[in-house]
Amino acid sequence: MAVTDPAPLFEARDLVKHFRSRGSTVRAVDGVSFTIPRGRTVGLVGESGSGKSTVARLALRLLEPTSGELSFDGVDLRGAGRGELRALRRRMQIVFQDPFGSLNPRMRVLDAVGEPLSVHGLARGRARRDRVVELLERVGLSAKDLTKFAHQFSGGQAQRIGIARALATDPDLIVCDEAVSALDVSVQAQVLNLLKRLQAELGLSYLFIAHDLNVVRYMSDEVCVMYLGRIVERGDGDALFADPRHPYSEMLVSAVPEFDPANTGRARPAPRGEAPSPSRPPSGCRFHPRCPRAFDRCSTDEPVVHPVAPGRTAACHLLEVDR
Amino acid sequence: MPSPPLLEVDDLQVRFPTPAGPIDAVSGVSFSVSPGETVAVVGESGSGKSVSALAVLGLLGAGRVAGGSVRFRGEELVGAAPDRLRRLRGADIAMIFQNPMSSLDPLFTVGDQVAEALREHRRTPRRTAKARAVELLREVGLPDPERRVRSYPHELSGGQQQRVMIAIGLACEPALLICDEPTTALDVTVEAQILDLLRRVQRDHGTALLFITHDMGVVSELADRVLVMYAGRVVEHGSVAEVLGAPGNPYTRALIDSIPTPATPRDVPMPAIAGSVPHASDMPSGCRFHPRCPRVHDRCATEPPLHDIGPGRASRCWLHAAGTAGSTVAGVRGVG
Repeated sequence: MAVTDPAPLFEARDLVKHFRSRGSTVRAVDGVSFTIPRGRTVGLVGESGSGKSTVARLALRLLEPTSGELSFDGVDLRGAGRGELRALRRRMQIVFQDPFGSLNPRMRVLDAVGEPLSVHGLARGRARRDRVVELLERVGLSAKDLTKFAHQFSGGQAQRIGIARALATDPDLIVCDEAVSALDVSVQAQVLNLLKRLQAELGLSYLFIAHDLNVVRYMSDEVCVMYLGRIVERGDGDALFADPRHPYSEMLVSAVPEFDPANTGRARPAPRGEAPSPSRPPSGCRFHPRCPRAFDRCSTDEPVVHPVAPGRTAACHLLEVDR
Repeated sequence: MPSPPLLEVDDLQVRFPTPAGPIDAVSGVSFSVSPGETVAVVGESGSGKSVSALAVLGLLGAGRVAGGSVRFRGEELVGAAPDRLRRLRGADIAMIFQNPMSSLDPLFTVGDQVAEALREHRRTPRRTAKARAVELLREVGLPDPERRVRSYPHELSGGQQQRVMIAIGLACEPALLICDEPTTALDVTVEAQILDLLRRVQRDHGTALLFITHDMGVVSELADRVLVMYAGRVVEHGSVAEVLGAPGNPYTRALIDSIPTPATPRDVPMPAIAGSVPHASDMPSGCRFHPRCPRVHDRCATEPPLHDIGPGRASRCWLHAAGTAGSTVAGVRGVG
C-alpha cells in the first residue's frame, strides 16, 4: 500500500459484491472506492438498492467481497488470517437501525454491553462491570441501568446502549447503518450530538450511512452519493447539497421535502421513474433512463470519474472538459 | 364564506385496554376538515396522531372511543352501526396507510382489487369495473396500466403499490382521503412523486386530505393547516405558514429546531429536546411536555388549556395566559 501522510484509517478500493440468486446476478456493489481518514466521518447516501448497507457489511467483512481491496490501519483485511481478523474486528464496530432488534431481549444491560468484553477476553468480573458503568456514563446512562432489560428503555435510550456496546472494545471505526433512522426527531438530535461528542472525545472514525440527506450532511466530512452499486458523486456535504453536479444527486437533493415556513405549499416537479433493480442495471450510465439530461453516449458508455472542484468528483459525461 | 366542515372531531378520547389497566392514547382532540382542504396532523411516536385518524373510521381494534364525537357531513359516526361505517369507508372516506403491502391482498391482481372497490360500493358491473380499474391505474401514474392491471402486489415496487392503494382509495371518488404516513416507507424520490400525485388528485377531484405524518417537510409542502400533537393531545394548531414560521408552543418550537436542515451548522451540537416522549401509561401530570420543556415554570404543574393566539390558531401553553411573565410568542421563539 502506498504510504500517504497521514495514512487513512480505512480504505476500500474497487469493492465489488455480486449476489447470485435464481440464475441472475444482483450487482449490489459494483466498484466502490473510498477512504476514511482518522477521526473523520464519511457519509453514504442513496435510496434502496443503492448498495450502501452492503458496503457497510463488506467494510466490516461481515460479507465477503466478490473482488476489491480493503485495508484497515495499513493491514490488508482480505488477506488477514482468522486470528488477525479477530483482533482487527475489535477495532471496528457497527451500530444498527433497530436497537431493540440488535439487543438480546433476555440480556440485562450489564451483559449486553459487557458481552464484547468477554468475547474478546478484555475484562471479567468486577473490572468488566466497572468498564460497563464507564461506558454507560459516556453515552448518558448510569449504573442504575445495569440490571434493566432492553424493553425497559425508550428507543433513544436503547440506541445509547447499542452505542455503548459498540464502544466496549475501544474501536477506531464505527459503522453507523441507519443508526438514527428509527428514532423520533427530538431524540434523533440527541443521538447525533452524542455520536459527534464521542468522536471528539475518542478520535473515532465513522462510516455513516443513512437515507436522510440532511442527517448525513450534518454528520459527515465527506459525503458519497450512491446509485445502483456505484458512487456517482462525492465531496464536502455543504458544497454537494448546495450545488450537486451529478444529475442523480440533483434529483435526490431536490426531492427532499423542504421545510420552509416562508414558502409553504410549494409544488416542485417530481423526479421521474424509479430505480431499476440492481440485477438488471441499465447499460452505459446506470442513471441514464431517469436522467433529464441524458444524451446519446449515456446509454452506451459508462462515465468515468471527473474532478469537479477540490475534493469533489462526479461520474457524468456532462462533466467532460472537451465535450 | 367558508364551507361547512366535512369532518368535525370534537373532544375525542380513545382508550385502549392493557394488562395494567386502560390507557388513553388520545385525550380531548378536536379538529375539523373542510371540503378540498389538506389538514396535517404531525407528531412523534405515541402522540396519538394515527389513533385519532383510525378513530374517525371506527378502526380502533381493541381500543374504543371513550368520549367525544366524530361527525362526517353532520352525521355522528361514534356509535354508528358497523354496517353504516363499512358503507362510508371506501365510498365517502378512503384511507391509505404506510405499508401498502399489508393493505393489499397478495392473492388477487391489483386490477381485481381496484375493481372490487367499485363493485362493492358502486355495484359497477364486472366488465365496466375492469375497464375503470385500468383508467384509475393510469391516473395514478402506474406505468403500462393495461399490463399492470394483471400484476400481483409483490410484482410491484413499494411506490407502485402505494399508487395502487391510491387508485383503490380514489375508485369511488371519496370526499375525504385519510393518509397515514403514506410516504414514510418510500425512497425520497418516490415520496416526491406520491406527494405530487396526491396534490394532483386533490386539485382534480377536490378531495379533502387528512394527512398524518412525522415529517415537517411534508407538512410544509402539502398542507393548508396543521395540528401538532404531543402525548395524546393537540398542543398547537393553525395555518401551516404561521405554525411553522412562528410556533407558539414551546414543543412545536423545539421540534422544529431539532430537525436537521441544509442550513444546520455542522460544527455545533443540534438543538435537541431532553428526555424522551412519555408513554401513555406513565403520563406526566400537568402539562405533558413540562418535564422536557425549556420554558417550564410553576404553573405547568396544572394542565394548560388551548389558548387562542390568533385567528384560527391556538396553543396549549401557560405562556400565552395573561399575567404570565415573558408570555409572548416571540419569547418562545428564542428557545433553542
